[in-house]
Amino acid sequence: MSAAKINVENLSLWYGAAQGLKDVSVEIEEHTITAIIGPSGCGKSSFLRTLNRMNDHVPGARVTGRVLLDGEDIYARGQDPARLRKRVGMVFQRPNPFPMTIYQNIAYGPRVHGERSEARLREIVEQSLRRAALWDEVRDKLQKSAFELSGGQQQRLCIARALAIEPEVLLMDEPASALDPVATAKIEELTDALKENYTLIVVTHNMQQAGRISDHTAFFLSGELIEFGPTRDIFTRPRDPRTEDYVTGRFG
Amino acid sequence: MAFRRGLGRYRLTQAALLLLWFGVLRGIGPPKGPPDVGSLLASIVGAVGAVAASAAFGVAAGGALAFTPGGWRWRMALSMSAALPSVVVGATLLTWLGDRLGAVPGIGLVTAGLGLLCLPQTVLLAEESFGRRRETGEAAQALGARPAEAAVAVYGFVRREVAGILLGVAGRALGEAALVALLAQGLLERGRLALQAGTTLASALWYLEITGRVRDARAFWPAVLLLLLSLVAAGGAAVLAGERREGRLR
Repeated sequence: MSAAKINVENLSLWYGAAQGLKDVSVEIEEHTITAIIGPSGCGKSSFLRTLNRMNDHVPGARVTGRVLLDGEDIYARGQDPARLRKRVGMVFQRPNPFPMTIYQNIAYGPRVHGERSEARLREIVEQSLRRAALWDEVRDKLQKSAFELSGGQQQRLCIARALAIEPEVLLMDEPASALDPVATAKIEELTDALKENYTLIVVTHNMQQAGRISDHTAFFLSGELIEFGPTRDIFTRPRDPRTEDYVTGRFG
Repeated sequence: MAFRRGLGRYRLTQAALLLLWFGVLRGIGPPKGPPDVGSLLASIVGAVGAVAASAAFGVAAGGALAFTPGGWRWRMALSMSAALPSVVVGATLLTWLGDRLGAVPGIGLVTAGLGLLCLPQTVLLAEESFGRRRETGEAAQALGARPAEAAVAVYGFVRREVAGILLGVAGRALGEAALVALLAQGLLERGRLALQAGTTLASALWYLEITGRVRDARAFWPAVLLLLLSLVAAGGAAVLAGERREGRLR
């Protein structure tokens, strides 16, 4: 059994008067992949964004409860969200490269965190692109615009960019939903390889994908965490009838 | 909200360009006699339309460049194909209507019409542009960047949008300069409205071609230079037109 990397305790989230998450408690193990599933609007992405405090940017958003990263409450007074985000990286649904070269995209994060040595930055760029399985495709065009890459390559570039800051946890919000099946397969292979060094939490609408890539699955419905457990159990013998209805396609 | 804030920023640019264009158009004036209120109003409407049309094409070209991950030439062609047919049809109708109303109000109507026809495309692309900029800023913050540092990450988008608009206006100004020079030389006494529509389309295609070759924010300074050159050309042509009107140039 791996050690717990993240402990979420009685987490609730409000957007103004509307409650987005209701008393969620869950424990996420280190070096595992956790899939978050559920119908649209159930709170999957909201939950993900509470783990690196991206909801801080949403006007009117308010959180109660605790999120412990290695035992330290990320919402405690005095916690710096920028430093937290260095430890908890994020990849978004739509590839969003910066309007810069491929090299500058990867070097952006380390530069923000104080890395000034060009030699070290070159190392980081190569290492991150290799980890994201993109190095062989872009090694000769590092100084070209990131927009010259295909959609799938852009998403792997965004993953490489997130890895360049050496996070401990990587949050992925439907990372393959805007990609074709070939690009999706590459992202899935990549997540499996990344598990060795990172703790991954992946929001997905795709049941098969959740089954293929994840060790644990959390099912959300109307802001509530209905069920959390090993992926195989969630898909073959769910405890809650609502989970069974969802994974068998009766709703959602 | 971001879209409204963005529009606010564009308004300032548009106001400055409007003044510039008003000056150029006043320099040209009607072919004979002092300007009447009708032509003056038409010139103002025309100037607004010209700026809107230029900005629309510029944003369309800049936006299409900024947001196309792969196969960008096709995407840009598709994006523009949504605007161009309506512009061609609109220009033809407005040219016909303009001919019935007289030369200067006609020019005003054509340019204003072109601007209006381009507006929906502009709004869509501007919305996409501001949305993408917001998402990119958020991605930068997710890497641990503070707001000021995140602004650096999206700066390239701003430069690209501005470059698109400047290229648009530059193309437009060159088209105008060519038209005015031809009028000043007395080479065209009839059919100027058709030429007006023609130069608008030609300039649109011209800067599409130019922006199509420039893939990133490096387009910014060339765009500024082109704009200045084309405005000098337009200004020179306007002076020529004024001298011809006053009989000093034959």
